[in-house]
Amino acid sequence: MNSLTTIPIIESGEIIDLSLKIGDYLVLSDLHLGYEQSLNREGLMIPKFQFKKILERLEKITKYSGLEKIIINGDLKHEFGKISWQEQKEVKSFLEYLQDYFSEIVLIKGNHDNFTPYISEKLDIEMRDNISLNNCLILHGHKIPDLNEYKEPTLVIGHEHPCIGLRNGERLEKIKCFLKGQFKDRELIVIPSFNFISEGSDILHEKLLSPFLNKQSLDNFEVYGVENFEVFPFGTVKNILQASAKFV
Amino acid sequence: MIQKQDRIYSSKEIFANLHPWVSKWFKGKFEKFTPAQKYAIMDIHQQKNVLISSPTGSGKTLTAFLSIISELTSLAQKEELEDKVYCIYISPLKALDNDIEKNLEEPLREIEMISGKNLGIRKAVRTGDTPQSKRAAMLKNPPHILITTPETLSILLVAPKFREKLSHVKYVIVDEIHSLAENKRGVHLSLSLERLHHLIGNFTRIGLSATVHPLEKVARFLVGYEYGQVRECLIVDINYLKQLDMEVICPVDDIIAADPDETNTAMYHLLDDLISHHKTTLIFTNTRSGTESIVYNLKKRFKENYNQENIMAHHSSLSKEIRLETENNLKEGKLKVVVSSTSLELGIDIGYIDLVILVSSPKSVSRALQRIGRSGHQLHEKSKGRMLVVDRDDLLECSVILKNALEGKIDSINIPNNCLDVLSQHIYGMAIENKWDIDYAYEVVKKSYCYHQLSKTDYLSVLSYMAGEYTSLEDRYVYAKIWVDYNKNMFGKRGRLARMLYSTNIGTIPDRSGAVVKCAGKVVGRIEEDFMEKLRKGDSFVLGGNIYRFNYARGMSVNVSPASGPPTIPSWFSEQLPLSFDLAVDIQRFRDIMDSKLSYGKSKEEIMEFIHGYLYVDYNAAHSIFQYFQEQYLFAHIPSNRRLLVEYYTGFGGRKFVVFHTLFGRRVNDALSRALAYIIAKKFKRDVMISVSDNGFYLSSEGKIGGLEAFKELNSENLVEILIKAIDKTETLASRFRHCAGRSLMILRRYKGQEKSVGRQQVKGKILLKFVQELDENFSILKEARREVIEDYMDVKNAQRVLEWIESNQMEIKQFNTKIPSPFAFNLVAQGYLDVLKYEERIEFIKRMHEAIVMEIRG
Repeated sequence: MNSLTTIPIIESGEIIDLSLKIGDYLVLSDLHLGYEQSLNREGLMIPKFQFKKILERLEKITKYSGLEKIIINGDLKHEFGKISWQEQKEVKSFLEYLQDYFSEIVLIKGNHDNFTPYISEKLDIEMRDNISLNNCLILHGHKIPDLNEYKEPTLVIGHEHPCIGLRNGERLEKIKCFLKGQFKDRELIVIPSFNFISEGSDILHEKLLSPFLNKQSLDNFEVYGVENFEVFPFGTVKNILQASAKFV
Repeated sequence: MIQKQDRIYSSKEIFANLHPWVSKWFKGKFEKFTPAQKYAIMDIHQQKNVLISSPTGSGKTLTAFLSIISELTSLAQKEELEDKVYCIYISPLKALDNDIEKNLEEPLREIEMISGKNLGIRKAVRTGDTPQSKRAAMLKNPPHILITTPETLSILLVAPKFREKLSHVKYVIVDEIHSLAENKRGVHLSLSLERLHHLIGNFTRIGLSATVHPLEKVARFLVGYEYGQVRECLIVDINYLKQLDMEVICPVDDIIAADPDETNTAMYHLLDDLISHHKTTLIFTNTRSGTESIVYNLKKRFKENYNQENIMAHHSSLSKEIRLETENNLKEGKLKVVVSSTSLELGIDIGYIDLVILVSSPKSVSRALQRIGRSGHQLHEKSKGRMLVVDRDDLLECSVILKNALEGKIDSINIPNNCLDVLSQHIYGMAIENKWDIDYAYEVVKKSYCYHQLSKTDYLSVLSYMAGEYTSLEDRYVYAKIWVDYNKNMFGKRGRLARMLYSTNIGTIPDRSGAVVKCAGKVVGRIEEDFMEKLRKGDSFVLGGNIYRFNYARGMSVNVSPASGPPTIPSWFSEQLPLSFDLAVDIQRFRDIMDSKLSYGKSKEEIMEFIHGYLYVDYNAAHSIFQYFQEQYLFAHIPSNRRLLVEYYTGFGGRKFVVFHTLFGRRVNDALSRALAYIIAKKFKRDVMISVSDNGFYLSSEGKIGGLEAFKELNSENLVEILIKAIDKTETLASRFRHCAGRSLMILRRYKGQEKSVGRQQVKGKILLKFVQELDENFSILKEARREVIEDYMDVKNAQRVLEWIESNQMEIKQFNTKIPSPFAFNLVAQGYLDVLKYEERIEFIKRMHEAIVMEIRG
């Protein structure tokens, strides 16, 4: 973490590591607490390790940004239709940690958050579908609401876990990234996932998940790669695809 | 003690010992005993361990079974045949199991007819495909001869009721033992046999092998150790070669002068010609993609001769149904030609083949013999094989293979040792059987040839891993598969699901069936997960004889559309078979002889005559070989087993190349070149491009890299240490780690009925690897992955030998500068680079790629 960079990506927002600063809020997305236990249940016996990593990373970001308000833009925990023991424990301690360090906490509901309110309500934290902030509508992005009800020119979503795969020789590294493009007449920002078990899905080569993205071409979307607090503006998807074809 | 069996028994002696009904059956069926039968039947009768090595079609299986059938017949006559298993037959293939069952049917039925009563000798196949109803039936009426696979055997060892039926086993037959011994399936089997031995005491071990070397090693593998001494075993070696009609063919008169297109066209005409003059032809290539491309080209170039009805591909990436269809069509004689990679090498029944063609070098003598042995499937019929060469290096390689094959010189087999992942599985299995004393279990494990030298530290690290000691105490209940009580010196299983978990997850073949490939909604095949991950938009590849363009991947499914034109599978995605070390050294010896002939100024005629006599090739081929060597000789020097040639040349734009003429096979060169590149990268902080082939390797860089100086820093002592550092961040290690984690049951294939999910697939080998590296540098799975890469994938041991030759001056190093690559370097340089070795951290890699892409975008 020698060269800390923040990169303005929209008028009122800048990238700080894997989070987006909008006004005096820090926006994170897709933590997927409890992922390990879910993997354990599928037979992948990796020990729990990401909770600690998430807290360490968040601490660095808050120290650096000095922000006191935080928005979790959906998918705080991993399981869909239930809540596991690991999730009970980790979601609770994570929210308590936030209460200790932040003056305001906003929880946006993601598709994995059906049972999150059981824990958050006990701690008096309410969960909502979206929030409007500095001309931005922040929402998880797994479904498209009736946009006529909202006039914000910018949409900020998570859900997609975007990353790009860089291939050279036999080496392949995936790097998490922010995306900036359009959805209909609005500006669209996609935040990478704040979890450390998976890099996410390679938006250059895999089919997309979010209804905001999977019915349009990403060719003109701009890609901002992020690796340990460094931001790498890569240009548009179309250009990356053309350029990286030369590095096979 | 391992001994060669040199006593040959007379037919009279053998018949005297066989049950009269069995003798009568045999006499009515065959004229006389084959040599293998004369040597081995009596030994098996006397319950001695035997390894029988003889070519396919020499009556090996009957040799193994005849005594056993005779004994079962005696018991049946006396009505003493119990409801227990007397003999276990193990083969590497389910298809082979099914063939064997069919082949036993006739003798058993006919002997019963001779006896005129109901003998009731049962045999049955039990594999992963056997339905539950049949399994239940087997428990009620166990087969006297159980036909199975290594994996199923290890499951039966923990089956609570069925294992009791194994308590009478007197014979275990391991078929195609050579193909098991050289990989982890064999390692796995060797431990299962020791566990069986521990369960029931001594039994007779019978190994059936194709031509391999050294047989003594395979015999040790078969029988294992007792009280630290290798158990007794007789070796029956009948490698009188089944008469070989074997030739090397050049598709063009002068392979040196012909351009690749010309050679390629000529090759397909030659193939078509050979195929049309035979009834059924089996073509072997070395790779899946090679197989695909030959089917594709024959169909395209000779539309009137080949269509879906008479030509088919057969390789491991095709679905089971397609492969079975091909095998059946072959048996029924419907096909004119089948193209296969390695999948048809083993002895499954494919009917009558009258010609085998090997397109380009099979890379080892034993593989050549095994493949060619698939033709003329009767004992006294010649096997007919043609090796079709595609370039000049290929010509030389195939010629030396021909020489060694005709002279019976076979390359040595490599048997993996101390595999900690396979050990983890067996520790689990053992714990399920009962509680164990830690030291006693260690002794049982060490009876296997593959673990004879296992260190106590490694053994204990596996116990510690299996006990989940890598996780926090409170979470351990999730991860621990066994409990270890160090005070009482005992271990045992944990969890109620242990047996089920073990039975559904054991085995050593990595789950490569990975991703489904779909074209317009229809499944067209499967590709490996690693392969899928590397596919990029615009890539096209061949599958099932058709070309597809990659569109996108989602989870475990790949969407493609039909494409035309040449496939663009990235060149580094090499699945090529490596040249065997022994064969490589023989080629180097030939180079040495040629070197002295040329330096003594022998005439062209004289030398050609020598080549013709020495390599058994025709004059066209001899001429091409002569020319190839003469060019190299006149250009510079001829590298050989006594001279390592290092060639410096400067390519386009001043790029420096250092070519090492190390003809030791790709596995050795992989080890040498990566260790070397690592030293250079550390020293000069410069990118090093690397390319490896069987004949040598080159390193290349923008500036001076001092290849030879760096090479001098490498020695037989420090090679392993440097190589382990060099592979640390490679994809190879990450993907091998994933396989090892699977075998060690850290990644379970099947667990509580859960299928693989997308989320799980995204957790790549690399993330797991990184996590484990942070956890403990000596974690047993990590250690095994490294061992597998440097010892099994690469060949660090022979690389050490090469360095020793240099250290003892048996091999001199000669360097020279040149403006264009020398003839011997040409193919290597032409293949382009394989990898850029940077040993950079992830962040450095990202920064470099970011800069490069941004530069490229700006133009």
